Amino acid sequence: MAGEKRKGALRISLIAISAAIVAVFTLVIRIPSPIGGYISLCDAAVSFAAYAFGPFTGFIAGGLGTAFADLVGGYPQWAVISFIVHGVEALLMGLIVRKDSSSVVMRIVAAIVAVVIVSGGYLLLTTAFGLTVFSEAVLEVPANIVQSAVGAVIGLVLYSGVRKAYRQLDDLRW
Amino acid sequence: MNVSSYVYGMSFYHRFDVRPKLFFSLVFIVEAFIVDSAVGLLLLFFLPMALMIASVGIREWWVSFRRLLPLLVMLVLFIPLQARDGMPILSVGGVTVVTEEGLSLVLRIISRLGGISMALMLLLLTERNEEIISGLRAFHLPYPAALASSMILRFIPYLGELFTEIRDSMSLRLEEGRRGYPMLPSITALVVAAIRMIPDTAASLEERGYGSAERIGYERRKRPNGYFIQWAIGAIIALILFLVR
Repeated sequence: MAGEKRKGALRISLIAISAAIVAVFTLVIRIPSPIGGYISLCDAAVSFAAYAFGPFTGFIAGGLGTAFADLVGGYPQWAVISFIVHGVEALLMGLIVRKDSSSVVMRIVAAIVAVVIVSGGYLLLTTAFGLTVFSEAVLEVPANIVQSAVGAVIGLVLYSGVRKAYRQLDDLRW
Repeated sequence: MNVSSYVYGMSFYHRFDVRPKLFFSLVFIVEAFIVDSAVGLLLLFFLPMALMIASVGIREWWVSFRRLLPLLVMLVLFIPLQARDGMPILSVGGVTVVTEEGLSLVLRIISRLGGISMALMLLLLTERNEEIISGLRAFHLPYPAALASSMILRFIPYLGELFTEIRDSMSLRLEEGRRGYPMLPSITALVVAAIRMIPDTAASLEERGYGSAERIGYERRKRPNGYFIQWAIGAIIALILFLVR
């Protein structure tokens, strides 16, 4: 019972703090894009959450962190789309590197999947939600490819650096 | 770093209870996807804007609207030129530039995007974050989700300030004359500091009794004066929008 209680409190704290890290990464470094959104370092934090804490924490932290950043950053219309896209991005990355997080091949596959999910997800969902038209949404694709690819690499470097500095990192994964 | 968009005020919309505000914001967003008539699209675009100006003033409205403006301008410039099927409205040298269908498409997308953005901003500008979470609890948002949401909102400004301090101290380590800051060491230091807080935060949640008793009751909020009138006003607006769709 005490163990369950401890686990519950630890999970809530882990989710809240990792989502806040994602939101800060999204809000702190923001470059406005020509069609109204912005590019940021959020994918680095999303990738880090997936590598460090696994697919499920990654999904909640990545989704909630980016959605909260949109809500408090003045872009509330993108919050639901960001939640889905970045949540699924972290979920898939976490699932891919779950068995062998040190495998270079798996890391490359995870990075490619992240790029496809972010660029394709925003393209399809903004069009499906009727917030823009396909030909407009296509203009965002190059920026999203760059953002997610750079983010996946920085996320990996960040994971290695944090793991060296904080040895108990792997104990937090569930 | 400030994570609240709330603007203090005593307007009639500020005095609305958070529950009808949350409910009708959601209804308005759903209706944004079914409205197709010209009157409906005009209402969709201008109603939240008018409410926002009446509640927080032109300056705050402009701050929110300015963020949306580049996207709206791009949509106006590009969509009519790309969607050129249908009845021509403007032709130059025998080439159709704008059609009725293209214009109708751009009006639909602009109204939807503008209406949804303004409706959500209106909610965030006239309600404190903790009130919104408390309102969601009244709609049976599970306690762990509400707790995590309010913790996220408290940690964002804290970690934002922490990052500013780390970045400023890291920039002092650069050679004289160089500007900026070493990004990777700065974000690594931020993440390490944040993750070190997790076990302590969990321990403090336990000390405050998290998980020690099953929470079965959802938040009971007092009903303010005019509570049912607020629901009625929201319902009338939603009904009008539905009828003119």
